[in-house]
Amino acid sequence: MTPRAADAAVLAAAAIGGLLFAPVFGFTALLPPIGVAVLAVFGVTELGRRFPGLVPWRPVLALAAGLLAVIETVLPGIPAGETLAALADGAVNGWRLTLRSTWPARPEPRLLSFVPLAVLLAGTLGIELSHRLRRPLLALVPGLLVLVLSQAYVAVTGFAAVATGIGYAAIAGLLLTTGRGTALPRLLKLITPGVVLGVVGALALMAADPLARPAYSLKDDEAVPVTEASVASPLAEIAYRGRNPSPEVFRYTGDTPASRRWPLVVLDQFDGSNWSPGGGFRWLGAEVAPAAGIEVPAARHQAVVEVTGSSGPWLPGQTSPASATGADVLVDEARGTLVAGQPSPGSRYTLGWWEPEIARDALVGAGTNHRLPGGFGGLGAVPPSIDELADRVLPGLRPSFQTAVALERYFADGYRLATGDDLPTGHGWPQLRRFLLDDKRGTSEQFAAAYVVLARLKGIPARLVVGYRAPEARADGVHVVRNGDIIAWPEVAVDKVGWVPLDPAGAAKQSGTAAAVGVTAAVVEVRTQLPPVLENPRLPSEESEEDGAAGSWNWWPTALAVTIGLGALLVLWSVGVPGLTAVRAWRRRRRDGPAAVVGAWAEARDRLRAHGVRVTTGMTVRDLAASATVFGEQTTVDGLHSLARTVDAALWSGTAPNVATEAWSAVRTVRKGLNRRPWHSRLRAAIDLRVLFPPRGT
Amino acid sequence: MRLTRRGTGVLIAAVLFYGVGELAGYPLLRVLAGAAVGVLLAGVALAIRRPRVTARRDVFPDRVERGHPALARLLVGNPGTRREPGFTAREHGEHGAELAVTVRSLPPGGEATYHYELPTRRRGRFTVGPLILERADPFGLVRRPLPAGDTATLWVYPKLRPVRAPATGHPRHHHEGPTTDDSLHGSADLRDVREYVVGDEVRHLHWKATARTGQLMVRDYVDPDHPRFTLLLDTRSKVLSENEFEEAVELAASLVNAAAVAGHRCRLLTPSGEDLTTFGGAQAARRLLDVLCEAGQYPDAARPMIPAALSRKGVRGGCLVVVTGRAGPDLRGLSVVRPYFSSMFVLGVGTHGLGMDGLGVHGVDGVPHARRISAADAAEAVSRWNELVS
Repeated sequence: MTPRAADAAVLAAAAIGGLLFAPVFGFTALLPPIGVAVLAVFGVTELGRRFPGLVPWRPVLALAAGLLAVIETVLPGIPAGETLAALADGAVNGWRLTLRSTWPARPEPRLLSFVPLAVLLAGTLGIELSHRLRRPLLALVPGLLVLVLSQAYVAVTGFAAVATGIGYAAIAGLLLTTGRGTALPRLLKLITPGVVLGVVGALALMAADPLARPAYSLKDDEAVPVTEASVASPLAEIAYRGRNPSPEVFRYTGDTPASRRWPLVVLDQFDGSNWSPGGGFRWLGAEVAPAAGIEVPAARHQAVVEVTGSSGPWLPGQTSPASATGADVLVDEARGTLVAGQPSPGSRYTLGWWEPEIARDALVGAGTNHRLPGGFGGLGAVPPSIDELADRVLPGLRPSFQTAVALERYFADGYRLATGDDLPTGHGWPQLRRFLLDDKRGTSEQFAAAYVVLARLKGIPARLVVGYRAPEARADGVHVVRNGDIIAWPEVAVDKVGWVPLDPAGAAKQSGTAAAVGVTAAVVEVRTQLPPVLENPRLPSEESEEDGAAGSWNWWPTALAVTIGLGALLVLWSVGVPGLTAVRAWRRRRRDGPAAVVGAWAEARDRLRAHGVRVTTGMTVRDLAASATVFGEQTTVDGLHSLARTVDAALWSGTAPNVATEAWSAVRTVRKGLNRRPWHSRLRAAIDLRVLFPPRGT
Repeated sequence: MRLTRRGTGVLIAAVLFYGVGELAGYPLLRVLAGAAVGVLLAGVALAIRRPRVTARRDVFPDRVERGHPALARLLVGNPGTRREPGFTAREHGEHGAELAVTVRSLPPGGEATYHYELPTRRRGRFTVGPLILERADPFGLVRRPLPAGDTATLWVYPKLRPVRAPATGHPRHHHEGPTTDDSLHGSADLRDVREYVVGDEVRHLHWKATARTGQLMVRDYVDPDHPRFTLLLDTRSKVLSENEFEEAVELAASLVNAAAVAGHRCRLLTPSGEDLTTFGGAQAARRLLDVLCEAGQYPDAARPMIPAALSRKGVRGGCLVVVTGRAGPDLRGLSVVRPYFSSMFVLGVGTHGLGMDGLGVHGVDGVPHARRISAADAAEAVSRWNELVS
């Protein structure tokens, strides 16, 4: 490999490290700046090769050219002071801002620019190390650091990790074989064991994961600090807003969510007196994937939301938000809660969200999902009477969605929704105890809070959500949401579907008359099919199998496929080569006249080639006989001499003697001699691929 | 079997990557570690079998002028019954230079000859070898060296330039009287009696022969002693830089070689104590060049330029050539030995040779009739010498 190829390998190694940031910014956003920066460094290196006087200035030139390339691809336009300032801001703060955004992040210059800059630095450093110290392994170190950094952001897993790792190792291997002056065919032969064992070792250590730790990400420790000092809990405002129903809170146009509700905040922490939201917030990036727990296909919906009233820092959102454009929005990925980045009264944004697409009967017999965070967010000190109530309501029932709906029915049947001006408030244990055992009358606040605590006591993962009903659209298609639409409701974590909203108070029913779709329809289906007396539902038979394999890539099918593929290749080789040789011999024998004799000569020649005799195109039969003496088999040599006589007779006698039979019997003699060689030599000769091609000219 | 530095680096990187990959849960780093371990194992597998071959290495010629080719011939044979895969034969040349020959695979009983050139860029006596046969992996991570064969010595002489030998002898009967105190009084060998030609010494007429032949015959006397050539090479490091010293040695070697081959009785002296006296001939030239091949500079500044041996008895007379550099006032000491020699040359080699720094030999008192040559390098000095001596 030439020094030029070594430069390309060093730069490619650096670029791979940068491109591994693809899950963070998207591949298409990263490729232009990284590619152009790397090409700029390569160009400067080439320039240094052409003009040796530039070599002392090469790092400076490479950095300048690469910087220009990054600026032109990330911040197009003429470079000015502002551009440089933006780039410097990106280099200094970009990494942290990126960690504080959801991924994929928006490919903005202030977020993205630190990646191409790191690649540029690594590439330049690598080139200098490679040229000045002549230690190729050391030249890879800067690129490796970028690669490790990319892993600290987001670790590649599964097949992508294997492919990337082997690709990177191949680049390093190419770099290590440079400048050794070994001819390519010999080099290929020499590196084959390294390549095979390298791939095997890579697969082995990829699978050898005794600790089985989840990948650490710098993102885990970073969140946008949100000041919560003066934030009133929306839960406490339900009664107040219920008494003042007319002020407008927000309006929206576009799709109406299937649940016909607009969640404002998810409250999953309960300490006995207060419900509080947990978790950290991040800037909403380009697009958020469907929330954890949704394993069914999800459809994207969209609506333009305009906040006109006051809702605190919270913004109306959805359980699984996908994107929000038009305003800076922070999101709590685990809960879907949206918060305004800057407090502004009239913010307007286009919200996209995911809704699981499920059939009507999908929730019938569904289990609950205990792994979703927030499902069991604390209960404080549970009063014994409540404990007894929980046992009485759901006696000995295992947690399932059906149980959750049965609990909902218990509330709907036995409790009253308070209306009018005298609305009860409070959501701590004393209030809940009064609601559950004494008054049996409350707003959606008490209904939802009481439902969540009872559900959690019975092992059903549940959380409390405060939000608004979706009202009917006006004539111009605008839905106006007012104070009176505020409700609280519980959500239950359901296997494969995620958080499913329930309505124990029946408060949400007042919102419109449109036919229920999606999750709501499925919940309605479960409600209608609910038997009067519940029994423990049948356990799904395959539940226990999934525990171990969830989240990790299953190796066995791939390993099996590779093994079968390799085996098939081996069989094809060991059967195909002798088969093809036999077919060729048969066709040669069937030729007419002198051609059959020439065929016999070609056959004898190929048989000897398979055994390692060097044959060139200019050799006569007698030359070959002389070469064949190395085997020490007189039979072979004799056969060749007799073949030589027949070839002479067929080609040079001028008559056209019929000597094909003798020629082929001579070939048999040759083969008889060859058959006395050791078995491993014969095996090697039988599967030698080279014999299928004509001999080389030299 | 040993890991090269690169192999050690790869092993450390593999351990590090696996540790970090396992603790932090990064599969990519584990994959890289696995690939590294796999390549190392493949290297071990490639290098683990020692080459079972017979190897012999000859160096010819073993004495060579600087810059002239010296070849090593490597004869490898496979005495075994199995095919021997290819390997690398490696040895050290001059000043740690690595020589490597890739030996192709050998069939059972096969033999192969490889030639490779030994570097002769620098003067000196070098030990070539020991020859090491080794199998290494293509990535340079693992190797298994196997010492085979002994060492050989390569003498790299200074470059020899065509030089005229000085035509000075050691006249025992000088018309000014004896010049040396060890001359035999009255000795002169009668070599021939020949016809008189104009200009012959009339005193040498052989009257008896003249009477017999009827023509004037004259005795032809020849000095019985051989022509003599003494060379003093100034090896003190203060007078010459390293490169200039190489030029000086080259000049000295050219002169002494020409004189020895021309049959002069030669003596080579250095301030550091070398003193070799030889009769003329090719053998003598070789002995002298061997000394010059190993001559090095002498750092002791206080050492006198003229060794005591030259002042004492020994082969003296004839021509004295002093090859020096910026010798300065030390040259005055030559006046002490000047009477013992019929002619005397002082040759300065260096970029600031004699004359240029104001210390010309002519100006030195007490060195009568010394001719001086000042040149920047050996080539110039030789051409000036050839002009002077003709």
